[in-house]
Amino acid sequence: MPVSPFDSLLAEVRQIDGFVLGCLIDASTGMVLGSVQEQEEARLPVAAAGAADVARVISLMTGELAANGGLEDAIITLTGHYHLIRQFSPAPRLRFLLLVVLDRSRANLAMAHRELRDFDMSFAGRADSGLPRHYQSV
Amino acid sequence: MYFNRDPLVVRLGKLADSGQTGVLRLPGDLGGAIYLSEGDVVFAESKRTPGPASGLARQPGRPHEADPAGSRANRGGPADAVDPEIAGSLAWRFAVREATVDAALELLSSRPRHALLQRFRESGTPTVGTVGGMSLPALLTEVNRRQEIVKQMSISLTADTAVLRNPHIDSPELQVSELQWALLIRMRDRSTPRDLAWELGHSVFGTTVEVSQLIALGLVSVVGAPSPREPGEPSGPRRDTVSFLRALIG
Repeated sequence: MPVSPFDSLLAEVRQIDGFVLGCLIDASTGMVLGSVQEQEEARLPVAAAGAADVARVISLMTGELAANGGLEDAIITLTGHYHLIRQFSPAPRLRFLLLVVLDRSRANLAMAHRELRDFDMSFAGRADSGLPRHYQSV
Repeated sequence: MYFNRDPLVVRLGKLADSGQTGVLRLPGDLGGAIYLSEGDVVFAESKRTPGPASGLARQPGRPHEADPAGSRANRGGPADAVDPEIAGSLAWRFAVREATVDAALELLSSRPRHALLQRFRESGTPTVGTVGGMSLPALLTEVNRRQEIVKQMSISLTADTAVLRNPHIDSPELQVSELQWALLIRMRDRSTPRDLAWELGHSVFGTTVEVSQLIALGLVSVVGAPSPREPGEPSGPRRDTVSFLRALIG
């Protein structure tokens, strides 16, 4: 079965220590576009929907605050896992969320955060990409 | 070629299970087409939702500037007419995926679904080039999820509800996304999310969700509903925001 381009995008984040699950979500609709996971039992749709909700709530908050910028990333620390949610634009006009779930006992949060940021930034210079230009004030 | 009056979802299930390749056409004002390749849904189009090329041809915040790549893709024509460079891009693949799910939501939610005369032709390729398909169960799962979100919003807002910009905003400053800004500047007296979606070339579902977010921010109201923030009056009750999680777990 051919791997979708959205799944392929996630191959790199699979290398992060403690990786359990990664998925690419369309921030506007909450649709899961691609995913990779180590344990099939992980409830990916629930984790993805939760991440999309977190991003929407932060978008409402920054909207009300006129915070002069939007979500870069959000880190949720659970007793067993870390959930890293990053706004991700691999191409102009694409507003995705990247969710990476890590096993807390095997992960280094600071390193994982940096690796995810580097992964995101690596798309900035590619032809089919562009830095997010999402936020305007009214 | 043959005709069938099964409910659309049953008909699609039979075609997918038997690994069919071809196009299922649904006539009428609520009609469209669903393209299958070896049982997977590779594309769907509806008369009530924009296609994938229209979105790439427009810059959300810039109504008059066209994206050259999108313009080329927007010419339509046979499948192999799509520039391979465009067809291979992530933006195009996403546009096709979103347009497909948006159209499927429309086609599978239309009533009466059983009355649509479905015509399956074992040939016919979509005008979107070669893109990866979705299995039918995956498509139906996504359509069901969206139907739950539509249900959440339907108390106050549907794709065909007229909305307008609130004339008074009591916050000194607010921040909106580029897409929300594009919606705001295009909103007229009785714009609906569907009108705006066509104008922007964005999905109808995605546009409706963004409009609901603008209502939550107090920037937009449903026509006929009291504005939540009249000057000099206490703020009215805020509308509930959409929850993707609630759509899954109830």
